[in-house]
Amino acid sequence: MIHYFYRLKRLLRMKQLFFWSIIFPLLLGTVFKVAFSDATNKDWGFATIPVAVTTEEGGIRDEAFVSFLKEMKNGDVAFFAVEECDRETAEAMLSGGDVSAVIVTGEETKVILRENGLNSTVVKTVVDGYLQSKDMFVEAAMNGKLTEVIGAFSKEIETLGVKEFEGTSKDPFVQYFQALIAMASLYGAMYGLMNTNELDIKFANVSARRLAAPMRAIPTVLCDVAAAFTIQYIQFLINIAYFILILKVDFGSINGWLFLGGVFYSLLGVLNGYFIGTVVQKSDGLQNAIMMGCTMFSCFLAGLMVGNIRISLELTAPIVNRVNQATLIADSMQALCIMGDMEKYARCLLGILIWCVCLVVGSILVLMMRQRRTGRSVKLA
Amino acid sequence: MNTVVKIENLVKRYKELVAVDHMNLSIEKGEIFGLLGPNGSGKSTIINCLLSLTNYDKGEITVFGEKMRADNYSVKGRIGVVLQNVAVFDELTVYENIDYFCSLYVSDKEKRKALVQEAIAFVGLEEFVKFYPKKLSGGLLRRLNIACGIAHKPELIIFDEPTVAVDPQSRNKILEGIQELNRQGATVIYTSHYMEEVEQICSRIAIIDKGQLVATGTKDELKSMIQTGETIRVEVPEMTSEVLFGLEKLSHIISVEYNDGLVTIKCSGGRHNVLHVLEYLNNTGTSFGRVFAEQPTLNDVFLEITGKELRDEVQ
Repeated sequence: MIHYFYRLKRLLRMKQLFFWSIIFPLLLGTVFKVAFSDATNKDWGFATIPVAVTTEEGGIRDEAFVSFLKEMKNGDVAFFAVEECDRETAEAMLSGGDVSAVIVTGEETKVILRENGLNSTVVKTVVDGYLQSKDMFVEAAMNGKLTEVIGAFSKEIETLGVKEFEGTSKDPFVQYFQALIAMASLYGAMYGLMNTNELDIKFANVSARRLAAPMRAIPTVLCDVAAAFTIQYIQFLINIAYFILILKVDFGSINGWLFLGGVFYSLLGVLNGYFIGTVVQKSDGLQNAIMMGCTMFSCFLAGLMVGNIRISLELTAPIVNRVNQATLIADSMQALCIMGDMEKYARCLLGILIWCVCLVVGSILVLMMRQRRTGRSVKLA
Repeated sequence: MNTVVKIENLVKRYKELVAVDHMNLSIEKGEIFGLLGPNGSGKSTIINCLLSLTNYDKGEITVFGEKMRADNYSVKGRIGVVLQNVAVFDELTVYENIDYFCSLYVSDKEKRKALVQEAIAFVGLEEFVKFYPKKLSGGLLRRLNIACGIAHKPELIIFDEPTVAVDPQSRNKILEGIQELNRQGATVIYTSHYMEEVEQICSRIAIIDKGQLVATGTKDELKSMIQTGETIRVEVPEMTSEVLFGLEKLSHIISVEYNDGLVTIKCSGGRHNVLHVLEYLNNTGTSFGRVFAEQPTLNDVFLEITGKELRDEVQ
C-alpha cells in the first residue's frame, strides 16, 4: 500500500499534470458555458421544424410525400410545419429564416438548406430516407397504412440522435460537455504515460533504482495503475460536480450508473497512456504530442469542436462512432442521462472495455516483442 | 564463501558495438572494488548487467553465490545502488524519498523508520528532511541520492560515478562516507574515471578500456606491472646537451626531457634515483632549483598499457 500512497502523493503534487487533467477541463467548461450562455437561455424543448414544400415548374406534386411530411410526429408534436407555396416564396422564406429547409418535389425531389444544423440534418435524413423507401410509402398511403410506416420511420430517426430533444435535458449544448468529459477522461493518458516511463531506464533516472530493487512486476504495475486511476476518477467526479453544481449544465437524469461509467472512462484514459508509452520509444516529447493529438482528434470526432459531428458521422460512417473512444464516452452519457437507453449505455461501456483489453494486450505484446528483438530488458521480471 | 560477485566471460553487444568483451571479474567480501576506465569504456554497462537492468549476450553473473536474474528478489534485496545521475522524485521530500526507496526493500514500517533516520544522519541531511529536492544544492542532492541507495543497509553497494559534477568538499565527504560504509561491513563496487578517487579508496582496482579488462589488482600491483617508476622534475635554469646525455646514461633512467628550465626524468624503478640525479648534477657543476619526485599514477598504468591518457577520455 505504501507504493500506492506515495504514487498518489506524487501524482497529486505534479502541478503540470494536475492542471491539464483537472483545471484545464474546468476552464474549458467555463468558457463553453459563457460562450453558450445566450443560446442556452432559450427554450430548447423540441420544436417543430418549419419547412416549405414547393413543386417544380411543370412537375407533379408528390401527394404521398407531402402527406408523409405532415403526418410525421415526435410524440404528440409534429416533426414538420409544412408550408406549401411556390418556389419563389419558399426561397424567400428560407433566406428570411422562416423555414429551415425548402423541399422541392416533382420529377426529382430536392432539399435546399439554409445552414448546417440539427434541423437541417433531420430534414435531409427524412427526405433521403423517404426517397430510398419511396415505393413503400406510396404503397402504404394507397393502402391506408401510412401511420404505421411513419411510426417505424420515426423510431429510425430517433436513433440518429434526434431523440435527445425529447429527453430530460433541454440543453442543446450538453453534447459539448459530454465531449469535454471524454477529453478530461482521455487526458488520464498523461498519468499512464508517466507510469510507463518511470519503469524504463531510457526515460527516467529513478527507474533504474526502482528496477534494481526487489519489486515484483504485477503488484508494482497495479499500484501505479491504481494510483493513476484514483486521480483520474477524482478528476471525473470533480468535473461532473463542477459542471452540474456550479455551471448548472443540464446533463439530464444523473444516476448511480454514471459513476460506474466514470470507472470505465478513467481506466481507458490511463491505459491509453500505458499503450503509447510502450509503443512510442523515441522521446517523451513525441509521446506527449501523439497522446495529445490522438486525444484531441478523438474528441473532435465526439463533437468537442463541431456540435453535430456525431450525428453526421452516424449518417455517413457509423463505424467511427462505434470505435472512437471519446464518442463511446459521450454516447454512453447521452444514452444513460438523456435517452435513458440502458442497452445503448451497456453497449458503449462494452466498447470501452474492449478498448481497455486491447490496450493491455497490445502493450504486453509490444513489450515482449521488443525484448525478444533488442534484448533490452522489460525491466520487471 | 567470500566471493560476493563473480562475472564470467560476460559479453554485451549493442548491435555492432561490443560494449563488454569477455569480461571476467571476481569481487570479494569486504572490498572496495574500483572499476576504472574512461567514459564509454563499459563500466556502466557492466553495472547494468550486474543489476539485471539489461540483458547480456553471453556469460554468467553470480552474486552472493546465486545466479543473478531480474527475478532473483532475495539477491536484489541485498544490493544497494547509487547512480551517477541523481535518481529521486522531485515531488517527494527528502524524508519521503528515502522512505519510499527504502520501502522497496523493507516493508516493516517501524524498522524502516529507524533505517531512514539512520540514513539521514549518515549523510547529514537532518536539517533538510522536509525539503523538496529542487530546493537542495548539488552536494546535498548527491547525499540524498546516496541515502536513497543505502538506507536499507545493503551488503553490496554499487556506486556508479557518484562524484561527477560534485564540488571537492562534497566529494571528500562522499568518499569518506563510502569508506565508512565499507568499515561497517558493506562490500563496495565503485566506478569512476577519476583515478585519484579510485586510488584513494579502493582496495582493488580493475582497469577497463573498450569493454575489455586491461588489468586488475591493488594499486601497488598495478603500478608494478608497468616499466615506468617515479618521475623526477628538477628546475635547471641552464642545461647543456652533454649533461642531458649524461643523465640519460644513469642507471634506471628511461627518458630525459628539458623544457622551459625544467628537466623531466622518468625512471624505471630502482632506489635512490633522486639522490643519483642530484649527485650527477652537482658533479657536473649544474646549478638547480626545486626538485619534485612523483610516484607513478594509475594514469601512467593506463597510458602504458593502452597507449593513451586516461584523462584524455574524460569529458
